[in-house]
Amino acid sequence: MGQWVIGLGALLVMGTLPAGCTGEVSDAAGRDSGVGTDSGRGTADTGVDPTRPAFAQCDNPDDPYEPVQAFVYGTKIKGLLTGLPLTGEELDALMADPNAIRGQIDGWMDLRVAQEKLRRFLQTSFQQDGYEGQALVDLWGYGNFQMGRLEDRTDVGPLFIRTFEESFSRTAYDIVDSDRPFTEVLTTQTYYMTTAQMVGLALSDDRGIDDENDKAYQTLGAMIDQVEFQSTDPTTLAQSLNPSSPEWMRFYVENTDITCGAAGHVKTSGDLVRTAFGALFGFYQDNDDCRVDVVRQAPLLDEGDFFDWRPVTIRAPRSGEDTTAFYQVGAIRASSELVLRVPRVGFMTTPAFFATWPTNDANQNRVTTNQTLVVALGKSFDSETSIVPAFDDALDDAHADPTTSCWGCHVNLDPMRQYFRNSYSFYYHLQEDPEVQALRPAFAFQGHEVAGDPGDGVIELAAALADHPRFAPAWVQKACFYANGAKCPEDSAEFIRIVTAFRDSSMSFRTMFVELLASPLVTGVSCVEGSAADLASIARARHLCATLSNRLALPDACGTNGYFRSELGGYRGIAGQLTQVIPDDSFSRGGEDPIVIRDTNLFIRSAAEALCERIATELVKTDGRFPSSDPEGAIDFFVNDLMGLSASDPRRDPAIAILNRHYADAIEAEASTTNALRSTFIVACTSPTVLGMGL
Amino acid sequence: MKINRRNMLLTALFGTGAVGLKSLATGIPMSVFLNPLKAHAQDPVPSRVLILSSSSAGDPINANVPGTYEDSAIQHSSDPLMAATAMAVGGQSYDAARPWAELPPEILAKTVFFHHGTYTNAHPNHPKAMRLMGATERNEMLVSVYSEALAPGLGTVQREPVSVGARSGNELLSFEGRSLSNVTPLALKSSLAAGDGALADLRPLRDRAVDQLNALYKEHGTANQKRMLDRFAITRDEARSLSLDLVGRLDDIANNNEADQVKAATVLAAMNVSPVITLNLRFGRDNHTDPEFVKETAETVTGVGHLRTLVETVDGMRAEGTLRNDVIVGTLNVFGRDLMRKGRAGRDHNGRHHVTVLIGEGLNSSVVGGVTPTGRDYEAQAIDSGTGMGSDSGDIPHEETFQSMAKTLGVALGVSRTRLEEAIAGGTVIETALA
Repeated sequence: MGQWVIGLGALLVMGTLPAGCTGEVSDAAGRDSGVGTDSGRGTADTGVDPTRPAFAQCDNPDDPYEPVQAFVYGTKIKGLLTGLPLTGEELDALMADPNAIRGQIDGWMDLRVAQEKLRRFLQTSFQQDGYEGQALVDLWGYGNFQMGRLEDRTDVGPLFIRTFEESFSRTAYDIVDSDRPFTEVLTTQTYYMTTAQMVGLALSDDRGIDDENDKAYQTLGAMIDQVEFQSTDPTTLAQSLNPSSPEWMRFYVENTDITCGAAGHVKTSGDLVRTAFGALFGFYQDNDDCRVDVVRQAPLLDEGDFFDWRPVTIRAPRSGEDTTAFYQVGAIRASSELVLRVPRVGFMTTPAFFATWPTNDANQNRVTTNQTLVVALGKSFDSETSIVPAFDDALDDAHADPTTSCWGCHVNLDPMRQYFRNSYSFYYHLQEDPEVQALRPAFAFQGHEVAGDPGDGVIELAAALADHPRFAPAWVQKACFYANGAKCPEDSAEFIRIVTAFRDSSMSFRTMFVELLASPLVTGVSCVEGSAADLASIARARHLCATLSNRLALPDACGTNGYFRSELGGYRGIAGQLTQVIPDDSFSRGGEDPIVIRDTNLFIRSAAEALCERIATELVKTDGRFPSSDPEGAIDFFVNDLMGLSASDPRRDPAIAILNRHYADAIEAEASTTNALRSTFIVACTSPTVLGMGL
Repeated sequence: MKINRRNMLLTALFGTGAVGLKSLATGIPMSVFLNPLKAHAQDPVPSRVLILSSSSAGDPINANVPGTYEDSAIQHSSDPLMAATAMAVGGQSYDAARPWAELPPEILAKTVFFHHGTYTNAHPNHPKAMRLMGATERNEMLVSVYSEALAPGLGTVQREPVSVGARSGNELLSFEGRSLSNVTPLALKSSLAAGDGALADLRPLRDRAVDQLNALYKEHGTANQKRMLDRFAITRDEARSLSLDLVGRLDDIANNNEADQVKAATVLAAMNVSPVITLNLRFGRDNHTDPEFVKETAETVTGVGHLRTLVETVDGMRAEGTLRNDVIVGTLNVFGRDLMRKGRAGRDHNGRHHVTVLIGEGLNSSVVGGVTPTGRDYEAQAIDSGTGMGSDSGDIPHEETFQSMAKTLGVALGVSRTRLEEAIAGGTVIETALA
């Protein structure tokens, strides 16, 4: 009832809000991210209400805390980190000494599979994987921009666009792996990139798009007066991309079908820079009046150019220095540097982040600013959490009346968004309007204040964020969500200890992560008031897929990781669709907490079962991984390795008996030995330690 | 034991405490027996399914429906496709954009255009708007209030609502504090596709083995772990109880677009999966910059078309007997948009005016409420509860128009008035909108 009354009060207050405060961005939906609002323990026929998760209550004599057993938390933590099962030796060590978990975590983090899982966590945590493809293409300012097609009919466009998801997670992982201060995720100007991405950023840098959406090339427009495609004279790409060469913009395209009138293979009208850029990515355009005027085939860039990840430092040109041009492909391939006009710093200026959070002339970078705060500090703007900055030059007049509710947010948000405005136009291209840049930004949030100077931009914003006291607890909290699917109690001594360890280690993410995972906040070996350590959940998609792939040594078991059509043949195509039903971690606009769905439903259950059926058919066959000739060996594997119940796990032997009995029942039901074993596989695959976490 | 469909049926009926048999005998869904604490006494009113288009984009539906054409300062598209067109609603004549006005009379005869505020103008507040900005009991989403209340009467497979069209985390539904995953049309098609025949025949045996495994894990589990194991068992049983006769209708789903969402939603309704199904239709989206309302025009034409298809499909399925229950189709977004402020250059957010469109049995053709200028733009007028008309002296203030819409829709769906009074603070049922 209390919430109800408060809600009514809030409603009445909201009812007085003037319309038009488009910058109001807070989301105080509370436990909206898969976490129950009710901590009461209900009673059903099993003694518990299955719909209500309960947070730990340490001093409830009627419901004493039940410590989580080693075989449960060991499996949970190793699964989180690697997807692999806990071995018998590891469980024995844990049962002998629960403190062994810290060393085990340290070792698990060094496994290659742990790198993949951690990168995925970082990718989502930095909000790099929430964009639609067209939004990223929009950053170039080309409507309906197309790319080519590989021999296996893979579309180059989606492939290229998707690689941007990975760029910052690789960057952040490198910071973690080399144990550099994690605050570098805010201040770094070195990003893991591919040659193709560098070419794309170089083109974007030359193509200015101002606040009015007026577009203009800085240098390239004057350099290209025609583009020719021909299939008779095998010139090299280097020649075609050399402005001093007679072959400049004369591309050799094998087997091209472009033929058109007297002009032959030449394009002389329209946006020729776009035509040349498109050709590098496999889209060949002839003169607009040709009947057949486009061809999509293999890019002129090498396939390897899309996957040659390496650290690349982006810097501004020195006095008199030219920026990197998109056509300098040879130099780009060999370079670890990009010279660009548009500043890039930290996670919040990547193409993926910008594509996820496009802005416009009404929003004016407020969404970019707020999402930056959500990622960096785990907090969103609302009028309760802010302080009034010393300067309000950049406060929008429409929201500048302190008597309105709008003012409470805008008084802070507008001066802060000016850091982005000073660096970027509404289209995330270089801000060149001196009137805009004359405004002074200011950072004032959660008790931390930095007065900016006119012209300060995202680099100064990054510095302000890196010094913010919320950074450390925010990232401990994100790791908590990852591990428990729920928030950790920030006022607990254990949480504070981990935050302190994070800071004391010069912001070593690895130190923090190990401390957290080994903590009762995650293991549940002892009670921490309000923690969710003993809450079980479904295996969210990323975890389920890693479990199936790594335990079964079946690459990309869910069919979700492949870039090429040829990788998605066979059962993986269907598996990929089924996996869409299984929830994965994500984020929302204005949401301080990640979206972590813990609960199952009939569709998730159906999809998981169907996925297991597909994998069973793939692996259980005469010449497959589990031939029907060895049911005993297969069942032993199903229990030990797939279900992860090792010799010391008290559930192992009964589980083997259950699977053996099922196999025998299936045979008795006149199933073939292959189908009986497949069915047994499905039982194991749909068991609680595969479909769930913390069980 | 030879496994065949007869044995499968027996397992479904007698497994897990014979809840299948109980369900069959009483018409009450299995989930109620599996979770008896949640069952509510039923009121003797017909229950209806709700298919609701919902979006955090804040589409300009409010700018083109009856009730926003009387004030000449309000801006509309000048495209002939959106020409102001006379239409009869509840026996009265209104103007509206052509796509709305040209809906067939039999649809308009059961259509309500409800003008109200949503009291927020920020996209991230979509989940809050779905909770009536704090006016629902325990801050539950409105669709979940309906869903929980309607499940027993409808006999649905599950109590939770289902979303097939959420486009972002903000658009995910929650139920009793749990975030619910979105089920895209393609994913729905894949997950419900018939499995391999021989392996499918072994499912009852597998269910028994999995039940044994669950029991084993429970022996060693904490109360919280047992809770999750029960959820695995319940949802497995729910999946088994689905009628798969209609799965073939999902075959031509090739995408997750609006047309496919419409197909998925209607099939889910016919399968009686949930009392509430949400999807996401476009009616112009977040059109801050939309010179001459070009985008608004295009998407209103297609959006109303999808809405019409939705209504006609469920009506057709109802007529052929495929659909057991009546369906109300509706729209509810995070906010509406400005009607005048930017001329025809585009529309900014307006938390003070939104129009919910409701179509279905139990509704009486009507326009509820209206608009009044605020100086900045427009807001939903107060409403006279007796007539349903907008009136500056109406007894339902602007601040309770949202809850009034929610209560009116709730009654139309068959939620008891007692339950609605418990669950929603403020607001008054508009009787003239009810058939």
